[in-house]
Amino acid sequence: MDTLVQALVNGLALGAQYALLALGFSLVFGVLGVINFAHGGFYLLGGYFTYSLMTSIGLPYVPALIVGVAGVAVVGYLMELVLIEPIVDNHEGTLIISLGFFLILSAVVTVAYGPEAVPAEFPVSHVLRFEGLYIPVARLIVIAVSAGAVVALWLLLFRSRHGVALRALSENREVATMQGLRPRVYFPLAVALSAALAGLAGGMVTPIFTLEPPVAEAALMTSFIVVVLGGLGSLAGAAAAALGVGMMEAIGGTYLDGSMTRLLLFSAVLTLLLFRPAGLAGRSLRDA
Amino acid sequence: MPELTKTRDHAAAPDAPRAERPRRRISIAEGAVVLALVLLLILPLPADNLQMISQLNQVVTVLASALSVYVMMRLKLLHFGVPAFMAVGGYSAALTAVHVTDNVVALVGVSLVVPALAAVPFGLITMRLRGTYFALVTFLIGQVVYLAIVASDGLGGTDGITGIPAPTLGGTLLGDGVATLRIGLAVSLLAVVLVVVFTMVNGRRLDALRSNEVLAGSLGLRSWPVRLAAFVLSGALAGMSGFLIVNTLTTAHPSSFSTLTGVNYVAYVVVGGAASVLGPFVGTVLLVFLVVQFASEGVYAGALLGGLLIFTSLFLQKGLTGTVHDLTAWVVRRATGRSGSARPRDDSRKDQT
Amino acid sequence: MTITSSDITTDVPLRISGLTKSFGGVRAVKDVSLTLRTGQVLGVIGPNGAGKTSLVNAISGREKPTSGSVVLDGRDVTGKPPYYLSKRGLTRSYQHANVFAEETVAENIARAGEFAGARTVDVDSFIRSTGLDAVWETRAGALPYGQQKILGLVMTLHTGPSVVLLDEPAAGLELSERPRIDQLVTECAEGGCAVLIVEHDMDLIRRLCPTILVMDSGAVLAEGPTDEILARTDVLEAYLGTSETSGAPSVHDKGVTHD
Repeated sequence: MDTLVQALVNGLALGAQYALLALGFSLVFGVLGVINFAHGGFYLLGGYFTYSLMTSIGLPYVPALIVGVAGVAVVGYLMELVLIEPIVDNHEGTLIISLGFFLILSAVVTVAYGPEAVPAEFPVSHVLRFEGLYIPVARLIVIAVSAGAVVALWLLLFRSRHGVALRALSENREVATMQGLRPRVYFPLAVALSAALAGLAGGMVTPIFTLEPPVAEAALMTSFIVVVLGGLGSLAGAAAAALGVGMMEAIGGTYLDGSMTRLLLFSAVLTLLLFRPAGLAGRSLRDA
Repeated sequence: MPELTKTRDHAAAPDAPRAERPRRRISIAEGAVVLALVLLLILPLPADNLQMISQLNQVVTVLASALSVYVMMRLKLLHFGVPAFMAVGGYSAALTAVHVTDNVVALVGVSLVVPALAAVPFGLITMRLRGTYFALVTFLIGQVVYLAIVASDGLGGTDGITGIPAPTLGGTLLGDGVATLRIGLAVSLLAVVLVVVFTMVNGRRLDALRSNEVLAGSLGLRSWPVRLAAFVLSGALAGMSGFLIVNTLTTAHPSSFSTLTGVNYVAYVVVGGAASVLGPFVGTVLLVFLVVQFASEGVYAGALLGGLLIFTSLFLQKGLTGTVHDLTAWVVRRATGRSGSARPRDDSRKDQT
Repeated sequence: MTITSSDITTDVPLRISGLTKSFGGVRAVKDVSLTLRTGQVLGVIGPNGAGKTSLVNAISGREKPTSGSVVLDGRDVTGKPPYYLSKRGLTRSYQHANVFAEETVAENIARAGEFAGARTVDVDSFIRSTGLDAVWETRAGALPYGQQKILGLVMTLHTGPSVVLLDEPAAGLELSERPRIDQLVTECAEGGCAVLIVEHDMDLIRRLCPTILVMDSGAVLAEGPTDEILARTDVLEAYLGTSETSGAPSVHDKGVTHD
């Protein structure tokens, strides 16, 4: 029972960070129609910027995280403006460009910090111990902050003028443009927002686990599987799938082998696609 | 136009009798590739220049993988799952060589057939997926197969299968560097021929689906048989490449087939071009050569590849071969003073990546 | 597969019953029923957003209907994909010019012929009368917009349909070009084809369609002889507020349906 509770807490923590990743990824796909292969790179940068600010100018963790996330947002903004925008309607081309950008990001990070993991540490290492349970406070903080970010995102998208604009562009770009919404303004912002979410996840989580270049690919793969499961284009689906995947991985990781869990999960999702190509909650693909 | 003299039979002009089923002839570009491979195969190679043999081999082992990507690119689909089918082919060949026979024809056959069969269920999954969503899911397919291989003890897990015997033909052992290269050339030639025949027979359907799938459908073309056939061929091609890699290393190891390597094969076609097999050929030769230059500093190779992908996508959307072709056509038009409008049978492909 | 025996033997190649298409909360097509007889030319009119293009999409398989049925030659084909319907004789043309842009006119027509297979009919007379023979070797994408639409129409007819749905065939054509459509439609209908024309050009509707169906907000508002229907006040009211000039070219954006 205790193990199960711990697994659930771990699952929530995993699910929460996956939600940040997947929501950002889904947002960019929804608003721009672009599949952003550099998304894992934003996660990575979140970790490295935070670490860097802490070690080079001695910022405490929280300010470092905030500034780091802002930095990642800027990178995302510039990437869209300079590289994506020129051919934003070419879906294959923008995918390749984002892939190229990811390769460059990985190379830069590896050259700057080396291919080995850097000793990034989460500042809070307390552990809650009661009734035989062993719950690191760090995980609880990750859950809380991620939940807060998701709520903030929801408020932005559904309760603010800019959010309405983003959703309008996502649903029907032509009509939205005719009504005066300018994609050129909102597209870079959407990518910046998505980068910030990924960067936040990266900045929070990598000090708990590990911060090294291969982490980017794992984050990207997670974004893919969550978004495909939840349905491309559905934010609610992405969030739900993220929690589900987090839970499954945590529980699977406790009782089974880690990579076996991933294998089962990926196989299950691919089988699902056979019957529901649009994922659990995705938009119909016939006229995608 | 100097480079591509593909004469496309088309419906006869209204005064002439109705055209019969059109056949396409092989273009100069594709013929050149076949010729190059044939020449390399039959001409004597400097056996003492080990470095050159090795570098040529490096190109030749992955050419079929680039062709695997190319076949799907003819449908404007990005296939990132090629390493998965390379692994299926490579491991199948490895197991066959260790347990059944080391006859090279059998090994090539196995590496062709098993991935083709494996491609069918995955093809059924991806058949209904559009555009970039397809790309994403093929990435996942690559990951699934990789995880499955690493998880299975029968395939050696993270150690792979080592000590694979060299292939034989008749009584001859084909174990040295030159023999390995010749096997590679022969297999690549087979791969090129398969692709050229496939695209000749299905060219009109491939082009129609790539150019305007909605219109093709409403005119009566079923997209899924073409896509499935292309995906199966793609799997077979990748499998052959997998065999060549395993044969060169005498080991079937998961790291040869990691998901991220799929990016390389896509890059070969994006940079080279996807109008004919010349594109993947040029892309593979160029990029493998570049990577070899950076062998000591692998991390810069990644950055260079990334930069090339960005540059090509922004400025050379038809890849190197497509851009050169367009430039040459433009020069010829200017030189012969022909006007630019109403260009006859423009067979350049505008909507490649 | 429900086959109504009367449909096979008679002259009702297309029977639509209670067709409904919803997108999320929006019902673009509400419970629409209609029949087409062999050789009939039916006009479908209505203000923008009335659901006319959605109706065509739902019948032709571009969209899957939410409910209702489409019966073609006595066979239930509801929700089947476009290629399936095309092979059985139901094709549609597009509101926005839809051709294979990088290929010549000749190659475009050849493709239509090849993909339609055995159903293909000779369209040489159309090619000549519409002037497409003069641009036979021209890249379709380089043609003027109106000619691209005509090419699309000829390709559609080349597939030898028994039922053809034309979505605003005149949109984007100069007024002087529009009578070219007349010949195409008339010959097609005389050859036994059933034609459904969605249009805003009332002159064209009057010339070609003895009967029309009026849609408004997704539902059928009225149906009957053209002159009679066009004189009705409720029909005119449905149109008030739309300043649709029949000569204006539409926005070139493939794939966007604005109904």
